[in-house]
Amino acid sequence: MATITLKGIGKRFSRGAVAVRNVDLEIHDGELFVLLGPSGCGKSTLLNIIVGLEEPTSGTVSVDGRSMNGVEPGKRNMAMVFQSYAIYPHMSVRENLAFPLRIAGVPAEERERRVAEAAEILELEELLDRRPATLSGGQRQRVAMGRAIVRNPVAFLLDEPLSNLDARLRGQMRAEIARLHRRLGTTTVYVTHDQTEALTLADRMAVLNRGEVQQAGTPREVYGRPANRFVAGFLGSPPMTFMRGERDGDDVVLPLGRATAPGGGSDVEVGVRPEDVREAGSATRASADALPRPGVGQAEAPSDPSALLRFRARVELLEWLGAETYAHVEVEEQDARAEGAGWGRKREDGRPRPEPGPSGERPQRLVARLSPGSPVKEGDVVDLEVEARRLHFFDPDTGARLGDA
Amino acid sequence: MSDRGTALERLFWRATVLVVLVYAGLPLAWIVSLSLKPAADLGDGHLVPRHVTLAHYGAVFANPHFPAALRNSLGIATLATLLAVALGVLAAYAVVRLRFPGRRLFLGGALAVAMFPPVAVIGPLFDLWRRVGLYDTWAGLVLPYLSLTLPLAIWILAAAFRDLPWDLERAARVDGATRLQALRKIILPLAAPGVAAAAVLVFIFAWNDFMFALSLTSTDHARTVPAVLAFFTGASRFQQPTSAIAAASVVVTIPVVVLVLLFQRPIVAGLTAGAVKG
Repeated sequence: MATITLKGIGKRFSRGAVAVRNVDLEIHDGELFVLLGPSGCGKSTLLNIIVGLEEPTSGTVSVDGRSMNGVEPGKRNMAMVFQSYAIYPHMSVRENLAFPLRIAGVPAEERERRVAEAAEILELEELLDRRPATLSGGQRQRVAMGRAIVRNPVAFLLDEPLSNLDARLRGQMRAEIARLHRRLGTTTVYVTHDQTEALTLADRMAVLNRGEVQQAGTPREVYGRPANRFVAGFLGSPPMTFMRGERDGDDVVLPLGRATAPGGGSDVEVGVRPEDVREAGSATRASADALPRPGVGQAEAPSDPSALLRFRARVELLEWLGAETYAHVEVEEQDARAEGAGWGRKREDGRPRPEPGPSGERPQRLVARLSPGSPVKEGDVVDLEVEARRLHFFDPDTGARLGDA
Repeated sequence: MSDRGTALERLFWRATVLVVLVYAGLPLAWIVSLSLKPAADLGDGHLVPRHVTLAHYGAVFANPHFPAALRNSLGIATLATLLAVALGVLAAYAVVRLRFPGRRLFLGGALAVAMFPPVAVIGPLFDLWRRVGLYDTWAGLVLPYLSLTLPLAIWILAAAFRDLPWDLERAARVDGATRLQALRKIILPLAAPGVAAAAVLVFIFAWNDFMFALSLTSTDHARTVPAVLAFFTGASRFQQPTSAIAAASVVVTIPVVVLVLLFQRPIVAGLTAGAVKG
């Protein structure tokens, strides 16, 4: 049981590469904290710094207020599960589980009792006398977990623990880790590049990129209000679609229509999640499954119809997944269908239309999640709509989130 | 067609194996044969002795110098092996696991030492040893053996350590082990084939060495078997000590054979384990 505090952690390798930059995080007692990021983002280095296998070049790691800098990894009483499991191949499962206790000088009787206890929790009893080489991937994973829990550590550190398992087993072990954490209540730091693992397991999480924390918070906060363009694009599958919004007064003009945008007078980058796009006119049904996400902090849906962006798009590709359908669509030029309504592109001052930039030359593509029962076929032209409050606005230069919406 | 191909292939491999076996085994067989022949039959040209006698073996052990030489050989070779493996393990660990300036230079330097012609140092070493009192002592032989075999040991052990997943050692350290404990309990057992290979090679080098043993010793104090063999005499001044030398050769070959047989399994196991890993 421990609160782990990271203050100003930086790690520069001798060759000059910077792995971690100025990381401040507080991992609360008993929570499961996920470090999420693409490979090479420094999340494993951060974990190694927490456990003491690597020393930070700057900053402090403290556990319950005590600085851990310079403390040997073995003296920190943390347990780690490695991506490769790192089970000692020359020892039986029993000896593997007992190893940390033997090193700590725990008497044989006590050792046996605790090994039996851990084996029971992880259902390893029948495997105790087997050699690691004869175990399946899932079993090895459980042995590694067993070796971690056997000595009642103050924290578990899991480094991509599921990435060597096949998809089915991964889901199973994910649930098992969640159960184990609930049962033991030990502070856990979990490193992964898999957003599903992060969103399902985390009490709180931090998204890392290039050695820097991009955002920390609960999964709902991070998913619902991504702090910047990187987080917005990294979380979500299929990912958010980004497009350019050209400033026109308080509004911005998008390929999808016109929306009120926060931020100064400059252009913005706008992100749309596939699940926020729906077939026009399906609002009644859609609003039922588009309940405001808790924790997102959004007000009641504005009933203002102008807060709805409607646009016409051609379906290029349909991905039917059983429970849902993803439609990859190409947004049609809006001028071609200026049938009134508040969403048409206006150019009342007669200025030449601002150049949409190099990406604007090509038609805007978008992914929309449709109901699996939708009759839409590839090649169809459909009317789609997005609620303006579902749009995410980012500064095109810094990538930072704009406004509160 | 393919049947004929495989038959031809089999024939080729069998013939090759036979040639190698004869090439390696015949001299050995000849020495064993010589050691068993009575003196009169020595020149008869038969591989299988017509009369078998163990008299030469009796004579070898009756030689007052031989048991002492055997003791010296065993002691010196064992000491050199233990020291070389112990130092080699530490050095190889440092080379593989630690970052320190001059790592490559160290490995290159070790290789250079291994290539150094030992003959070149014998003269100076003789003078030096006499002055510092190491002449005709165990230490006087253990030191050069250690120095000449250590580079080889370091290279073999470094290769063995490099193949081990680093995560195992990191896991051990997180589990509470110090670096030294991790080395002893995790790395060494897993690198056992490499350690055995290094030990066997060092031992055989020290056991078989003739040049240093001959030059740096003078009495039963430290003279080893290969050197003593050179001082064997025949039953009379007109007789070559051929049979006695052959018998003594057979005797000194036995420990090496036993050693290799003992360590063959871990060595082979290690090789195949490495081959199918991953």
